[in-house]
Amino acid sequence: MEDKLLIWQFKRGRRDALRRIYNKYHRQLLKLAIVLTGDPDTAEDIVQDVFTHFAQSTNRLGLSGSLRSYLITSTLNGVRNHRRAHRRRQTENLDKAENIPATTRRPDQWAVLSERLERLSRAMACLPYEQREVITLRMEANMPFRQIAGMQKTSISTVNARYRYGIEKLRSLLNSEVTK
Amino acid sequence: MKSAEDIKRVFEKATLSTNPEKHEAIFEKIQSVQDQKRATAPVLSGSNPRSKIMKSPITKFAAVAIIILAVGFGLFEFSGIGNTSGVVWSQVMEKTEQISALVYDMTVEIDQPGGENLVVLLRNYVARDYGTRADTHIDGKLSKIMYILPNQKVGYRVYVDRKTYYQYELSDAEAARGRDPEELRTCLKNIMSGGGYTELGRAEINDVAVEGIEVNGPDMSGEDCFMRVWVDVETNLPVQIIMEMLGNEGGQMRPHKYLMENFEWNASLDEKTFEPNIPDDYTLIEDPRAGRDRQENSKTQQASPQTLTEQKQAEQPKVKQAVRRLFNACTEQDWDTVSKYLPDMKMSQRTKDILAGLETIYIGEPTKAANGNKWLIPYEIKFKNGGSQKNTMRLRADENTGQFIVRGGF
Repeated sequence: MEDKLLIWQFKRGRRDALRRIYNKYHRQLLKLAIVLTGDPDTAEDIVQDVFTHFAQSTNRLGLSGSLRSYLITSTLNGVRNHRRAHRRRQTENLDKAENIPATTRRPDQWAVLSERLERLSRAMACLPYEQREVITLRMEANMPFRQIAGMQKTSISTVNARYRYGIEKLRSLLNSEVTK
Repeated sequence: MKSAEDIKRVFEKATLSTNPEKHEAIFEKIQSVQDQKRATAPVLSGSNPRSKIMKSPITKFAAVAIIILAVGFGLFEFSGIGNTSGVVWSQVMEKTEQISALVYDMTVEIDQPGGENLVVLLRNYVARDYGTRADTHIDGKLSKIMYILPNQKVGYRVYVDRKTYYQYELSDAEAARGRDPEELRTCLKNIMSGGGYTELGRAEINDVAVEGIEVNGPDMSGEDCFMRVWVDVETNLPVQIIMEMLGNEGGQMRPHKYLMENFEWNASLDEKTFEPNIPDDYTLIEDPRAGRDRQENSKTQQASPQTLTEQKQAEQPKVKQAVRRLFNACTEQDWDTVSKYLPDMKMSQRTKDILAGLETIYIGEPTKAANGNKWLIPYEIKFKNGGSQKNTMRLRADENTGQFIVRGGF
């Protein structure tokens, strides 16, 4: 109900509604994008784009959907678009590797990562992207497998397998984390 | 690392914070986009949304409420649905028959000139044992709470924003409404009788697999109505209901959309939810219906009847006979004749169902109104559902045809 009210106020051009939506969801979207891209700078750009497009979407937004799902899906699409563009650049410049996390952040950074998030982000970067996406959507967005399968346009069993393999690999990569 | 739960905990503990200055700087950029967008958007009408919603036809809300009650209390018949779908439609009815209480949200969206829609949000509570309550939000704020309490035969309207309220007595018919299965069943059948069903197949709503049907047909006031019902394939309970219809908005027919969702079937509701608990600083105001009745009575009392000329006295039996013919036509469902007496009334199926089979109890002596040419005829009739009506009919002779015509309904 709260999100529905926020959308409605936002559709009427209320500035405070946009701020409340921004304040409510920016952290979750940033974390999602960081874990998916492995690069906080890229993640910041993607999330900023998500909110920018959202600010332009007053006429397209309906009241029947979930605001949270809308923003998560927008972020996911942003990450995928970035990957496609990145791959194109890679073929032109083969000496660059994908997903090298930025080790040194600029002083004007938006997201300040905890040490745990940095470790998690580095570990996730070692997984194939599809597995990363399944685990992130499941763990961070609490999305059911059926919905993830729909987003990845694949079967639920494939999503299950990606989840299982991804978790196994993360276990070994993060093994020291458990004891902490 | 033992399990996925451990990974989940790692995710939960992996946090981030944001640099406040950068956070604000980014927001300013985003907001400037919103401001630009707003600058190029159509100018909103400066009208008060509340006044608009007050003009919205209450019959529409009533129609929606009846559907919800019908769904909630097991009156939703899917007799036209085949067996090919995953939803066992007959079980939808069985399941909903067991429902004694439900909570749901309703969003009413009214298309308005200028492209800006008026949106009203209602949180509705319905309990077979206690009644109904609807919390209405306008412009993001709780504006009004409506209670209908059949056990006490009383209704309340509490205007939170104005700190006022009024209460009104429920008539027997109003108190019975929502409890009389036959009436609800009839209403629903009327709504659905227009165009049959179309199966919509499977979809997903908020991660729930659903199947839907679409119904096109006239609503209770005879206007075109479109309805979609989506039912959870596992529980066989409705998940979402969408209704769209045209409604009179500022003298123009405009699309109204009703979205019902977030159903909590068999919600745990206690009597306290239905206790108005009006704060002490709220002012009791007059029931608008009572005010209107008082004004109407006052007008009638002021308008003492004319002394009839011999010619007018000779017309009295004809006037009385016209009223009798009208009532008889209703009894016999002769709608062509009824329409001659009521040319301004839209004879929707709902209207016909109410009028069909009525019984004439009494037709009094016609008198002439103090002003004008209208005849006033006191009458009492009884409807087939048991309700009765005692009123004064206004009749005038058409200047061209001489046919008696009812003014303002009856």
